[in-house]
Amino acid sequence: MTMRLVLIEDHQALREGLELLLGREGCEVVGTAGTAAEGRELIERLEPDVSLVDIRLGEESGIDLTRTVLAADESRRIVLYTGSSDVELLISGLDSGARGYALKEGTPNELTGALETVAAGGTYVDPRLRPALLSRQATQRMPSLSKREREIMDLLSQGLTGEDVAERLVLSSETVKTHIRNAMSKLEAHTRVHAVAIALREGYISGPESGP
Amino acid sequence: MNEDERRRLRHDLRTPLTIVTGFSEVLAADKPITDEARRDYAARIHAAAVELRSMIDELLEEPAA
Repeated sequence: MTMRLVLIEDHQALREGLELLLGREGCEVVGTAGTAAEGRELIERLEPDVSLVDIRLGEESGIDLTRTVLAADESRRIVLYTGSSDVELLISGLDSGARGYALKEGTPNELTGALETVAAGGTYVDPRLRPALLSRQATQRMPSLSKREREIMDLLSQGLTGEDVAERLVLSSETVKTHIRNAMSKLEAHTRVHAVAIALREGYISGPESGP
Repeated sequence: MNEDERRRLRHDLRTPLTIVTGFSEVLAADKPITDEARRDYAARIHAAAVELRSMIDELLEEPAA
């Protein structure tokens, strides 16, 4: 099934370029916007499978837009898109509830992969951000994750959904949900993707082996 | 330049660069494309490169803090 995508990017040439490039990769771009207000209206009206949101929308913030649309419906799937690999911005972005975080230096093919992963219920953090996450100094000691929790976080970091993880580990969905909930609580994470980012940062998991 | 300005600059420079890398990758790929699409992609790359040059020129002209 074709993925229905809303694209929110303030740079007109990139917005039009992405619409073309992602269309070539098989995405159905159902709406595009250049401002937070237009983007919000499109997401609420079109309910796409996934939305790609630029972090900087002129003087407005894509992170604030993400918080607003998720406050109304937390099942919406947002991938934040940015030219900055700043790790503090990444943590702030993941705090907003976005399920994916992609860098503008990635290829169209990588971006499509990120969007497909999130549209299918998974999470995505650009592999280029892994060293920054790993090198960031922990400001406080985190309670240790159990072996099973680390295993599940590792699979989530590879883009698997909770149901995929349950099938892979031959566990019930409820058991997997409980492990994820416990891991999120230990890591003080607000969302699954936030938990994955913290688990990477703290060195509990090494993340997927892809990337440059 | 403070950290927030540097962050903004990194973002702003990479935005047109994404157009250059994205479309040049399509042009360099094996998949056939029409002449019209090739001209369109080349024009987009050129416009993004001109924008990048303008940003870099402006940056280089800025007096050091």
